[in-house]
Amino acid sequence: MSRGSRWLLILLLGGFCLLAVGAVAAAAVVYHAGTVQVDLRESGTDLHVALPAALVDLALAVAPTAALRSATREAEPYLPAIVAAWEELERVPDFVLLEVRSGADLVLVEKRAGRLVVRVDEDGASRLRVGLPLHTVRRWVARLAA
Amino acid sequence: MIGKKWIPAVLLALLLPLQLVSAAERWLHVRVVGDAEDGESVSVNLPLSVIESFLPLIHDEHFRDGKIRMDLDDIEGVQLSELLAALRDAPDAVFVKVNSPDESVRVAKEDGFMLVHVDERGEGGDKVRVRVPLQVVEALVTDEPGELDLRKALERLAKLDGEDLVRIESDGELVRIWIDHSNGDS
Repeated sequence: MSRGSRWLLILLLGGFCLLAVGAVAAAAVVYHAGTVQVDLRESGTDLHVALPAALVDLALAVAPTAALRSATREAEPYLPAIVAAWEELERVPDFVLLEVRSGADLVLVEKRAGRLVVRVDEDGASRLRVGLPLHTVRRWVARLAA
Repeated sequence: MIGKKWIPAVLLALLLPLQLVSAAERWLHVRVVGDAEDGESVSVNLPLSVIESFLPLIHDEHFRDGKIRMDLDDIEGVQLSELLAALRDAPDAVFVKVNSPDESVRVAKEDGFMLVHVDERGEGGDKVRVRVPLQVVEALVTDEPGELDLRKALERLAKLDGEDLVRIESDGELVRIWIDHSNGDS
């Protein structure tokens, strides 16, 4: 193998390694941030969304601070309180925050495995499920409160 | 090498701190159970520590540092703290007793609790039971007129365990509010 080919091979391998490390790091960030899940069943339509929460992190990071402040002005005095409450929610063991049953209908809000889960069933069938990673939501609100 | 006989002890030692944390947690529960026909029920479970964590951080016109300010023009001139001190020092007694054809009402102090009982007469009549520790009421009142210290009252409430604070039976429905160390699973 010529000297030039050897350098080219080294550069290619180096580039591949960088890409692999970057992909693993990105996967780790996405995994750590968790996913926002929404499942909706309505009139024969099934909608399933699993949005990596890291995308929201990214959007918050690039969004203009002035626009964020304007959007959250009215809630601003309460944001530190929300962050504190959210931190405490993360700390306590899993529990059902709200459960409303009426015949075969159900509304359930619970903390389960580090997530806030909202579930709405109608006539015994699942209609809506939303799952939010608690630590990620806390980080979003903290970003808005900063 | 740790012998097999030590394994349960080691596991117990590892789990004990978790148990202590769990036991220290206090939960506010609200239950509304409808009559058998409706099959409706509402259940709310809230860790008191969550409420304690955000109360001091809310600051607005009427709410600051865990204290709420109310417009109490109607009772201006009345020092709630003095009134409650008098109530605290009074011996156990029935303060109000009303017996009418429609209902009976009883307000009393018993064993450090303020009790309010309302019973509507007739079959299926409403029954209301309120049982509030005087310590909580005392903690609620500050020297500032019209100000209530929710944070301090909550600290006192957190010492309660199990018994109903409020119980209302009305038209086959039952409403209960209580505090204990269970997260609501049981």
